[in-house]
Amino acid sequence: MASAGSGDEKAAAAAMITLISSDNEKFEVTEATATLSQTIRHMIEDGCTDGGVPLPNVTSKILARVIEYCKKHATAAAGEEGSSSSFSDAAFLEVDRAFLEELEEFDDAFLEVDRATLFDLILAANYLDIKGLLNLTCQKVADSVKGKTPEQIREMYNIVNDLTPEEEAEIRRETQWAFE
Amino acid sequence: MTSPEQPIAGNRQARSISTLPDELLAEIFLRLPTPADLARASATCSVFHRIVADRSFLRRFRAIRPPPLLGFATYDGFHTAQLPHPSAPLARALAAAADFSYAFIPRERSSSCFTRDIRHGRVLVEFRPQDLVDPDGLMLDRVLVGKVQLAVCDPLSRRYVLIPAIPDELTAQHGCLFQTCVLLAPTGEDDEETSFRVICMSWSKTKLFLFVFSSITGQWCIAASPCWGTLGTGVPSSRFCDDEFFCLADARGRLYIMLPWSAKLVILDTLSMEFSMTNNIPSSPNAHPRIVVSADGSLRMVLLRQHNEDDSIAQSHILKLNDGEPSGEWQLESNIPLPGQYTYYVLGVTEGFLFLGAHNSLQSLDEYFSLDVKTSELKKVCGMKQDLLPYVVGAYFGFPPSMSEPCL
Repeated sequence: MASAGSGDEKAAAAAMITLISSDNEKFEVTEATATLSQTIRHMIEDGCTDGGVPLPNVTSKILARVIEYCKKHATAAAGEEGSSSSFSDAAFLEVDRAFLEELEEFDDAFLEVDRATLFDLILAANYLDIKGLLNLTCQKVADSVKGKTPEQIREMYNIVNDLTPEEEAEIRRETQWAFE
Repeated sequence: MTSPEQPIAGNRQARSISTLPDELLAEIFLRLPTPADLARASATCSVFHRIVADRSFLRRFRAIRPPPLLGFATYDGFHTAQLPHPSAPLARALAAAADFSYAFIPRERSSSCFTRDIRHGRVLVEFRPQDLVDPDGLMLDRVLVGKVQLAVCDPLSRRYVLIPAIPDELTAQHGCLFQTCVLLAPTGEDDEETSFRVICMSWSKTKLFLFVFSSITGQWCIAASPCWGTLGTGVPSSRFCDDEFFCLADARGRLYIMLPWSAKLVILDTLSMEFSMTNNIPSSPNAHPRIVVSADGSLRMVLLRQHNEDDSIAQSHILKLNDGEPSGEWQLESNIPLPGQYTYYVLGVTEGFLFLGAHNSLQSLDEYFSLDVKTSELKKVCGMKQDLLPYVVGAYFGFPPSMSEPCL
């Protein structure tokens, strides 16, 4: 896999893209990393990335994290292509499995952030159209809500209950089965 | 006192979940594992409730996860999942909101109502005049085509469609035609939609007939009428019970047919109208094999075995048809040990599931189990009185009433 992957990396290394955060910080990334974002991929296809890609909705702090995610997953994608196109024997499957495990560990560690950062990552993943990152971060929030009562969800996320007592009673009546 | 300029969190940059746009909150809610999690989230605040109550959101939520099993129908009634089954609270909500007596369907006053199939929230019911029901209220075996009234209904919305009788011009020239299986089949279109097909399998001395009613055209047609000779199953023998006919439809529009006098499984692709057959179904004197088709079209066979005289060891063997090809070999996929001290009997087969009854003379109720043949998961669904010996004709998979839409 190493030899198959390095060819891809070399080709990608030739094309570098500059991303500019809302607070004007510049990040140099390979095209392979940047194109995990469908938004940026389209900009590259349209040839409008000269002079850098301004991302006015993403702060440098968040962009740095997003790039960290993309770098890791771009390498993984290149590795997968390299191994599955030409080889399929057990040794390579073994390497694939180790790689996937490593990727899972990376994702778990990546999600160890405070809630505000998590929401910023969701917004950035959505704006940049990075499917894997959007799925990962939304799933993290969903997992935190799983099995909780409305009261616990409100407390956890500082949500004000703006339902009228009548509305709340109506919802409770319709969804009684969810509270048993 | 707090004001908008001084959020409680103290950090003005910090985003809270409420600042996420609706579409992203929807993305989060779509990833909640169960309808109950979704319902509790919706009771949190008005924004969450608005997102969850949205019809297109609920469609997406339903589309990406299989609906839970809420109950099953026997010929004579509907039985909901009971505790400790995880769906029990949902099933209770379904039973409270729906009418499984189908009293909303107009019918001949003296007719008896039998449930024949369930698919995607729709129920196929059959009304039989009294002369086609025996004194114990059971269905008489051999019924001529066109003698019963069929209806498809949605017990939740109480909508129904009366199915016209199969017209004489389709049947007249074929002599005596006996109706065996009637079932609901998908149209091949989006199943969330309100269209459906009804399939009526019938037979004569010379041929097998498949009549299909489409809700789109509102008419019956003959989908196929192969001679016994072309099927290679042999002709109907004089001694068999019509109960042994078996017909199932999968989501891809294929029909799986077992004939009482043949050891082969006949598969008909209702789109291409091509027939294929499996090798002989292995059988043994004390284990009657049951074919189970999963939603993805994979075919399995379940053999129930009880080893000891005291029934202390019972197992269910699941065999899978290799490569899904009719000509493939049946290979053992898993052995599932069944709880001891019961005598087991097969209640019936529905898409992806085998239903088992478990009898122990020391208990007042028989236990009913569902066996998911793909995951090998065995779950107790409910307890039932022992004097019944119902046959499970269909399982009800669905979402709770407040998250469902009329399916007719």
